[in-house]
Amino acid sequence: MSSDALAHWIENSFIAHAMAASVWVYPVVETLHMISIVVLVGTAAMFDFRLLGWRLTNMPVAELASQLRPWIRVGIVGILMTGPLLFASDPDRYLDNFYFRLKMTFLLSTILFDLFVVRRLRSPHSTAGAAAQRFAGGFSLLLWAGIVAGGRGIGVF
Amino acid sequence: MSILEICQWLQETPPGRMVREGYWGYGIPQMVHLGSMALFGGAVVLDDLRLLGAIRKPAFRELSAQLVAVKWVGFLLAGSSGLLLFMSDATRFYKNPAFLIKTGLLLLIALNAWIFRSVVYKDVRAWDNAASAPAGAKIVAVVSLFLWICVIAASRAIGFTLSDT
Repeated sequence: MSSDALAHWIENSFIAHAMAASVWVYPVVETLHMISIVVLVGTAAMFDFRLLGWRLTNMPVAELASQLRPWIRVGIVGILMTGPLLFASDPDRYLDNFYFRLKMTFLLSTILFDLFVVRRLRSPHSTAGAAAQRFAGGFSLLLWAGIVAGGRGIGVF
Repeated sequence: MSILEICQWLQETPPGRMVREGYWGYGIPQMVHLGSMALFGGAVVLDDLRLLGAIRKPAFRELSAQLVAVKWVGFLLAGSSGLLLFMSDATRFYKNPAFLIKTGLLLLIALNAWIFRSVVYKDVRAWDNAASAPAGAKIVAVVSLFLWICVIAASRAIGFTLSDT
């Protein structure tokens, strides 16, 4: 299935029709998307600041991770419920948008970096030194900044 | 000098023109505004969740003290980028209902924080290490979370309504 055919299929799906049902649907979904961003990026950034050795250094990394985990999950669930709806409202526009592609690239990089690097640092059995933690925290913050900048770019440019 | 005249003057200043007319002039303050809002809002949300007992460690005062610097960074960046965005189109912002509601909500957030500091926080030693805070603190936390949701809704509404005003 080509991306054009995929876009066409999504455009005609019931989700796209629901998104177009009222002028209120899109702004409300976008607002819920932003609320999820504050919860997710706010908590994730705090964890990265800990890895950087800047904030909450009195708390072990693994313990902070376990305290923040439920709220990071709340943010992720909110993003997953709203982002695809926004995309489905006009797939062609998003697929053609440079900043959307940029955001998705940063998003994929963040997921891979988390799965393969940060997850090890979060483990209570992690033996990673401060230098590795600092690098991971700084790099993760840059990736988040890319996601946010790309996201805003979709609407602005 | 009326408010309208101040707004007219603001949008013809060099920063006002730069943000309105430059390709990146508008985009970069928007990106900074969203990112710093997530930092500032996210730090406040963490405080609120700690008060509600949804996050249990560290102790409230320790968490709050650690978050102060993050809040300042977020607040200063969100404030300065927000001011630049306002300057770019001041005469339209000042009569946009969503912008006025957002400004009112931000003042309510400041008032709520002041009430917290001057009333609830006074006996923080008694509940600092407890899993969750007393009822007064929880009310402040719920009000704070509600106001933040409203601020985000009003912010998004500015983007959808500015062209009509």
